[in-house]
Amino acid sequence: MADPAAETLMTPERVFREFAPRVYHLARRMLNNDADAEDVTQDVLLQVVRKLDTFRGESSFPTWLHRVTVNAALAYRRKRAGREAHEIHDPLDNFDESGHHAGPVKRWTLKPEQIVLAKEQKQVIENAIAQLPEMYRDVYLLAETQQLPNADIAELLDINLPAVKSRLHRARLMMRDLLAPHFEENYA
Amino acid sequence: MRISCREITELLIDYVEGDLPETRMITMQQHICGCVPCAYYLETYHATIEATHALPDEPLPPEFEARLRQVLESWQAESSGVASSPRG
Repeated sequence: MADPAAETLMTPERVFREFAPRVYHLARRMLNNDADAEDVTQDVLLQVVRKLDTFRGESSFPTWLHRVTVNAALAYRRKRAGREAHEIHDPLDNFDESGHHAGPVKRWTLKPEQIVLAKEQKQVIENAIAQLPEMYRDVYLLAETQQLPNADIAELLDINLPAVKSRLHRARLMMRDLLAPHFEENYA
Repeated sequence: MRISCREITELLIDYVEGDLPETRMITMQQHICGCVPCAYYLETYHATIEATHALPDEPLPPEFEARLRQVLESWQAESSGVASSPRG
């Protein structure tokens, strides 16, 4: 019979193999920079493997890894403060004075129930994420790429739950507007 | 009670997460059923979320993966050397 402890045993090799891409892509998307993400990934993996002996599973391993990664990426961003600035159109400005949609809203070729992304579509989504202002991007990434609950995101980013929800909603609306021109159906 | 398209948009997160009181939920459903732009907006809001969920974490860039593996192996060699070195 398999030893359950052995099945869940986390080794440096396993951390590298199973979790390095997750750390790298979260850092890359948070920082909008491949080289910075490489620095953060190396830092996070070394921090984690050095402390593997002390990890007792009080929280799940992915939760711990998220915490270390987000802290490292935020610290890196603070160090390089001022390098990024995004101006983005407020999605709630797309309504007229009576509260109706000011322009046409079209359907997309991408249907929510059947999404398999082609390479170009992945790039369109990556580019849209990169255009989100940082305060919205962080929440969006943790909610939609890591699929963390709002309460975990609040703890990781040290903000309250209503702020998580409000930023997540605003980020989704911005993403919808950024993706729309690429995915709208054309009836021409 | 009437509700505008802008208000529908503001409440979408509560609507998709089922966090609205029942009467508000029904008001929204009635509006969305009778308003094509809001129905399409809701569909594309869902598609935005699902498309991001479908975004994969690709493998590491090969050069970085090799460099990272080297760093990890150096650390392992160093730490096992420290662990096995005689005391005193």
